[in-house]
Amino acid sequence: MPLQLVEPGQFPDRHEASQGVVVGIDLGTTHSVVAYVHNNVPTVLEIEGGLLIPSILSVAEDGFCIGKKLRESLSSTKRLMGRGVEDAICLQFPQLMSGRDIRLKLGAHTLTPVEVASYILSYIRSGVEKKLRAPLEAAVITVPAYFDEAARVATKQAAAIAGIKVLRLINEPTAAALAYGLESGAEGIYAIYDLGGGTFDLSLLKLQKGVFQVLATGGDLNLGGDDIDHVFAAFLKTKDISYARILKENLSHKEDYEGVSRKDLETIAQHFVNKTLEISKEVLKDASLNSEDLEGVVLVGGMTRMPLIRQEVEAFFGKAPLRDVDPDLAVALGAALSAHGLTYGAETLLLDVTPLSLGLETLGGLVEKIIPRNTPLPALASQEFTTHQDGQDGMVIHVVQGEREFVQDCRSLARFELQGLPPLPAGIARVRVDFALDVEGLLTVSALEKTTGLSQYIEVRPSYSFDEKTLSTILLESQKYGREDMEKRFTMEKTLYLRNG
Amino acid sequence: MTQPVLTLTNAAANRVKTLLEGRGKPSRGIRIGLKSKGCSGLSYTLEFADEVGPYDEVIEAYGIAVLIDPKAVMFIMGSEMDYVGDKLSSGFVFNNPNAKGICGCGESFHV
Amino acid sequence: MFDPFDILGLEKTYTLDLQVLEKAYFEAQKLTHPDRFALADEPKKREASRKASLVNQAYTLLKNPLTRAAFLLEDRGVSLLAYDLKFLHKVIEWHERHKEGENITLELVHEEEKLYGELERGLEKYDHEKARKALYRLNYVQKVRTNALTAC
Repeated sequence: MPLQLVEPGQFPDRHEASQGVVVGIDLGTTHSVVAYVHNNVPTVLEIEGGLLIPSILSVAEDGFCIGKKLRESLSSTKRLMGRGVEDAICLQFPQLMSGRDIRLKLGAHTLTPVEVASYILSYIRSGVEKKLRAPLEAAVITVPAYFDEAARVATKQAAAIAGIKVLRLINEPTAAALAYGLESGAEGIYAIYDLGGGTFDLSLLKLQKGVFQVLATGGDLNLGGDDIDHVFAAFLKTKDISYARILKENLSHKEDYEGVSRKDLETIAQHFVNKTLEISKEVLKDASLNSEDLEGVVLVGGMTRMPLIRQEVEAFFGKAPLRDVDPDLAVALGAALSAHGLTYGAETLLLDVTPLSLGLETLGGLVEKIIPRNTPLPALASQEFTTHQDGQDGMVIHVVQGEREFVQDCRSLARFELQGLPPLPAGIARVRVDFALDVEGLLTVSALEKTTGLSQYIEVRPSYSFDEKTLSTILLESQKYGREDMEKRFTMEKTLYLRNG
Repeated sequence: MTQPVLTLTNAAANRVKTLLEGRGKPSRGIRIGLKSKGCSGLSYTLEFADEVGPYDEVIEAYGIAVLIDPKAVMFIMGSEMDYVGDKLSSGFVFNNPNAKGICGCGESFHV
Repeated sequence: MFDPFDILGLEKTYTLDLQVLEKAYFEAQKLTHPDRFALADEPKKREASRKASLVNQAYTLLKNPLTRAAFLLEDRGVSLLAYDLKFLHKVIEWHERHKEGENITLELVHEEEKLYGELERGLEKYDHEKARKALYRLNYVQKVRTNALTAC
């Protein structure tokens, strides 16, 4: 095992606790996969006879059961991580119970999405420990690049409940790029087109020896194989979504199956594929690139086995998608490489970006973007505020996520108050607020009033209630309204300028 | 007995020089130390050195200063430091004629 | 004070080879990125995160010629131009012409090229009036161009 030359104190004695293994876990919407690096080779672990563990929690006579669809079961609960009861996605879950938070009925039990995820992770943990006869020391867990703060935090909570130490979360396309890049030694700019059960991500990465840099990323949290299954099931006039899925999977290698033709499925899937290509176009624009600038496209996620998707991706990017990578396993393999690198030192640095702009509410209901989307992580931004009224003793700071110009059209991330400002005339107080996004994309806020030195360090955990708008809708709409918004903003700014001289 | 405490291959020396240049701040050299505990007992550490420790063994060769923690001197005696790389991992290795066993992770050794 | 050139170990000039910049950026991140400190204690991790953020900021600032120029001017004690009324009228005029359906893209591209030249010369020769005026105008031209492109 080669040693790295490091800064003093960088790698403390990791051998103390470690007789255990570190793994990478792809906690997927429909399937989960766990891998580790063994003798320098990233290897998927077979748990109970399978490389792909269905992300299904069922209730059996003797308790819970993972991986099998029994009479009463919950699946695709990843789509509910970090969500609220008002989210449209809840409509896909008949087991949803009424209440303020999302709770799902399973037999005699009620579970939150975090609890379901924790059961799956526990199952994975036991499987790994049994197989390798060593404790599971720590893991890297992957999340869609487009997952927001609430969903990322929920994922970490699930791991904590399962007793798994999370080295860090990494984005699924980035993980896949790591697996592909290290295996192939490829260099250049690559697109990772990741269409899974629940989400779509498109990331553009520059691969070179020693550094993998994400240039831009985009996606849709409500666009995945499951959505196609639901529409397909409606077309087949059945309520059995699993049946629709089986048909869909078979039609990937057969032109006809059980009286249904591939063409019927493709007509339905086309709409979803078009959405993915619209997003791809925007991401290329964000990175100021054309498809000619890319060396290749890598397909990730079981859905990309559908012939229509391969064709459309090839047509759009002008290159045949690379087939070197197993679309079901790449993410877990990349996560394993990441876990290994974080523990033992790695030569390859992963530089990722934040998928959504972070902004603050300012005068006129406008959003002041303080950390734009695709900013490299970790990121810091500072903003200075002052008071509007004499003697004002507090201040509310409203943090939002989204691309629109007006607060009402963005997603509220958190609202917090700085209190106890010294009594001063309007405009004299100087409040500096620091926003820090860490490598996982999680936000910490701290505020300092400079004339008094009063400071508050606040760890922000989103407490917003979700409206019907999803993350993906936020971005797509903002592209549509971009020009309209800018016109309004130009007028608003001109008004303010004229008013304030 | 004039067995050198430690020798470096050209690959290792060159790699160290490159890393020292790229560090971004002045360095005294590199330091090799020893960590106890591990599945087989001991393992080496390799760090940038900002200063010479009072009991460090100092080897000036190939244009760099290699400082060796006194704890490590006895075990490293007669070793060769090399730099190897494959596409998955690259780094420094110590080929130690005295080490009798290597643990499964290849990290620790016992003498 | 935040000095992006210093953070990345680069010479303080406006003309900058983007490949040299990128290399300096990667080397800096290799030393300070939080992933290198995944097993260290919390204070070390926070410090690494803070430093890495500054490295990222330095890279982003230097990569964009306008922010790079703005920093150089501030560093030299030159205040940035607050307003240029004559030019604002031109901007509003462009805006109106664009709304009326005229294709002003070519004109904007030429204006931009001209201004970049003035910016570079101004900074090289320490003619700061020239430089800050060019910078101010470039910021507006870019805004108008982005709007014009979005609409296409």
